[in-house]
Amino acid sequence: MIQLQKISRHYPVGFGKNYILKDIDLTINEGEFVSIMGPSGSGKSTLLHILGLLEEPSEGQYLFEGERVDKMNEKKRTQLHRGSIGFVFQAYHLIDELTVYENIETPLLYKNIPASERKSRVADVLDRFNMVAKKDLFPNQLSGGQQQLVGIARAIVGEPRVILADEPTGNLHSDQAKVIMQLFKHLNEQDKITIIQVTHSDLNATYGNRVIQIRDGHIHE
Amino acid sequence: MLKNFLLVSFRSIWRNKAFSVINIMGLVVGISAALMIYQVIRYENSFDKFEKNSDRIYRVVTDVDFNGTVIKNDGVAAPVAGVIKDRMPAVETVAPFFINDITRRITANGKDFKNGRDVVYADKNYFDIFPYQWLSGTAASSLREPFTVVLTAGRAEKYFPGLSPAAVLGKEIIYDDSIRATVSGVVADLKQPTDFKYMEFISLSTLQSSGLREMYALDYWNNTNAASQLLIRLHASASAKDVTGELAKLRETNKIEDQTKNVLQLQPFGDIHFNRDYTAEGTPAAVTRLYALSLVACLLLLLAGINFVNLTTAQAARRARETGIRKSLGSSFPQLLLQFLSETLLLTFLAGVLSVLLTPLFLVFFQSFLPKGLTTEMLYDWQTALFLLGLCLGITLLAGIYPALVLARFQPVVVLKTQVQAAGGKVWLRKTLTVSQFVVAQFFIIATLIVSKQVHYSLSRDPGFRKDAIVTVRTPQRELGPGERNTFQEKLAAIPEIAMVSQGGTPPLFGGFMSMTFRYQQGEKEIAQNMELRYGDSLYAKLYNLKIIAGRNIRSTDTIAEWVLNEKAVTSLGFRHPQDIIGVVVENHPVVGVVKDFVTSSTRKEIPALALSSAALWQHRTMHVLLRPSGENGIVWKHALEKMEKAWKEVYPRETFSYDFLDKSIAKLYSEEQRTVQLLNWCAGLAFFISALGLLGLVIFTTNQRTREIGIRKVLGATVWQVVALLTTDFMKLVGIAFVLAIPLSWWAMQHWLSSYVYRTSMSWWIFAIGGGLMALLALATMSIKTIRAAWSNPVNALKSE
Repeated sequence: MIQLQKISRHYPVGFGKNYILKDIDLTINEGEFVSIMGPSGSGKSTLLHILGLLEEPSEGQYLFEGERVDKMNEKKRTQLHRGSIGFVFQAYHLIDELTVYENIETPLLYKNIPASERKSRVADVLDRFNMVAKKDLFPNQLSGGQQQLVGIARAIVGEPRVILADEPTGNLHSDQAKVIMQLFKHLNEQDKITIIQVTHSDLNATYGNRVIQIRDGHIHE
Repeated sequence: MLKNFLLVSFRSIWRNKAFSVINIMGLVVGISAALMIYQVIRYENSFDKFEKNSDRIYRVVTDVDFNGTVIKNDGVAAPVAGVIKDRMPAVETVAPFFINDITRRITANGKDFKNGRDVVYADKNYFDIFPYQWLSGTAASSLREPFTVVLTAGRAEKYFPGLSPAAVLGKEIIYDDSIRATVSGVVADLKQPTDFKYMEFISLSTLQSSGLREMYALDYWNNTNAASQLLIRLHASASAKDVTGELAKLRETNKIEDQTKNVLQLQPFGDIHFNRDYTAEGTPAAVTRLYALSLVACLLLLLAGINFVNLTTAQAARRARETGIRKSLGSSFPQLLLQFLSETLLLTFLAGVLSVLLTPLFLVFFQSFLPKGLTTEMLYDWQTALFLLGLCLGITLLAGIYPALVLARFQPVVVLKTQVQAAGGKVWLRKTLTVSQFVVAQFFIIATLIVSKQVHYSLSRDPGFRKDAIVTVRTPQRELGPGERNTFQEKLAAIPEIAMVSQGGTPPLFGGFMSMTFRYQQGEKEIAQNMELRYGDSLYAKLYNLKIIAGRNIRSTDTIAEWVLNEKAVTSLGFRHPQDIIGVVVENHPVVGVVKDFVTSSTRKEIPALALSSAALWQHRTMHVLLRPSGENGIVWKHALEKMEKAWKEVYPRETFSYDFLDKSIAKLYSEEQRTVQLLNWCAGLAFFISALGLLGLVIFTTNQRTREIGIRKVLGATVWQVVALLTTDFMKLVGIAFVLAIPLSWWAMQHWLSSYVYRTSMSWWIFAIGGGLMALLALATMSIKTIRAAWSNPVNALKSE
């Protein structure tokens, strides 16, 4: 499903270059639950951002379902972005000005889904995550775990094929983390969503079925 | 989508209350100003638009040539109308009319009324130009006979209360006890704005068949009088240029009767309301004032827009995260741009709605600056709505596009990954904008000070004559001889509170001019000198304390018998010493004395050559009264005025008594300048207000950002004042730069303004110093609202919350 070929990412330092990622080759199949691990500064997040089209590689090829992403025009990339990828962040990144309901609804707006369908899909997700009673609250009225639940709900409401999660439990205590990880596992097994997470925690990595170690910009599988 | 945008916009406006209030207040000021000035411009443009084919209507006016000085007169010599009618087929309608500025007293229904300069002599053609609705009588017949009069409904109601238009027919109106006219028609009042708001129309033929024929000079080609007006409508095929040419030819053929070099012009009907060159009836609009006002409105809007740009980009970091999230959720750049613009639009709309609600109050408040007929009616029609919509969209685009670009351009990776506060936009841009705001405010402050200084200078300069404790009283114009005036003067002189009474023409200094060309044969060459004239009896010079420096004062005479010239006149007639001219005969009369130069008009004009003489029969229509010292609480003057009125009633039982204090009349000469001062005061105040709001916003922002720093500094021992200085220094530098930039700008502009005055004040350095100091003080005061509280706050709170 996802193929990275000789992907590098660097930025200029003086007259030379500083590589964050160097010659990454990686294939991720549909339905996998991958954990990317490694020390701080090793390039985990950069890799995730490249996978999620938030950042562009300096060199190499990125194929999504066999199609060259680096060759796509802006419009097509946006299409791919909206249709196939969902993001979950460590700091949740909910929009403070919107209620739980509206936060979850936002990606659907960008996909131009008609109002009635939006309504039913958001309602489904709220129901599934037991958050119907909280739908009119604002993010700052929720606990961290609840905010991350909303974050995940927002990521899956657009029915993506892949969820990219950047340390989704980094800001949560262990009980909440457990709930979130179980949810990911469930989404992976029941809904067949491919999940790629960046994590520091060995425990979290055990929920997935594949671990990629990254060190100094290189992959050690 | 749009709903989501608006929802987010509304909530974010609500969340940042302080900044929203600052933005909206600034915009409300700007939009209200624009709205008000739009109404004024619309009102001025709405004048005389209701007449049929108004683009083909012209007023025939005269450029009168006085020895090379062309004076534009909005009247014509009376015979022009008849000639045009007879010989110029290109003209479809010829409507001459004469403004009745002679009648003093109108008697109707046994009651006396004053003539408000709204009575004209006209015929049916006048009603062909102006589409009046006839309530009784007809346009064709009502004004055919002499001694008939048509009234507007309002005027009929005033003269004959309660009578229907039909019942008013046949009633009699008497003008100055001599002309008796019968009401032959009533027309509805004109509702549309017009400069031709006459209410009483006496038949034109009345002029022909009475002594008025001579008074209005109906048969003289060489008498151009603003009271004699002529409107014409051309045929659709005719061109104004051709008609002007024909008029010139007509004058050529009538040259025998007319020695002057006057030129007849066609003034387009639409030009009448805006052209101040022709001494005009009605209330002409000052086009330059309209431009100035529009400029002010634009500046205020600009200042408010700058606030918006500065405050939005300064706090961009707060919104940067949202941009990042939305982009990660699939938003495109244009969608984000649109979202931020719609937020700006919402803000401007809120300001727009508030402005519409507040403008009626402003209209009342600024009444003295606005044209009289302006009402709030126009504020609620579709044109205003459209204007407001366009204005809001324009502001949104101009003020919103840059912040929207800054906000929408954030890259998600940068803002989502790093915890660093992203700075929005360029800091130098914000600084530049703030500086330009303060340049504007500073300019207005300095301009206000300089204009005030000039007014003060004009009012306080020594005019060269006595101007305090003098009251002037004009006697009735139609008085037959000087007999009644002499009686009145005697009665006044007998009042103990009055020190002296002189009969004369105008006071030494007044708002207009009165002049005559003096010719004098100086050896070989003839000197033609325009001479300003003043008339008075032998007491005139004494009462006004005019200094006779050679020869003697004039004697009281019935007609001009001798001259007293001023120094300027002496030199302009070619004499070196005042003594030399004594006894010389100029314009048939000997010069008997020379008076020291004194001021005759406003500071705009130079002191002219002047001749003083006595001509009691025709010219001494004003009583100049010198009062004794005003006494406790002005009791002496109060008694004097009461006794003067009593004396007046004894001499002129049917006329109303009125008087003017000379110093007040002189101050009125500068009423235009006084209004400019007031207006500039407002401009300075509002410009500063908006700029200060922006400054306050920026200070609030940086202070909040530096809360932790302030805490640490205080823990390390910084005093409150050191912290305040820390927070304000950067901004005061900007204010300082603005001051430096504003100096040459205001110096140049005010130099230009002052150059229209012959006698002007100097632009002292201290004016600029005061202006700068005032601005600095106000800026500091504004910032202290936030900084002092921040500096006082307990550092523990600041550090704990981090």
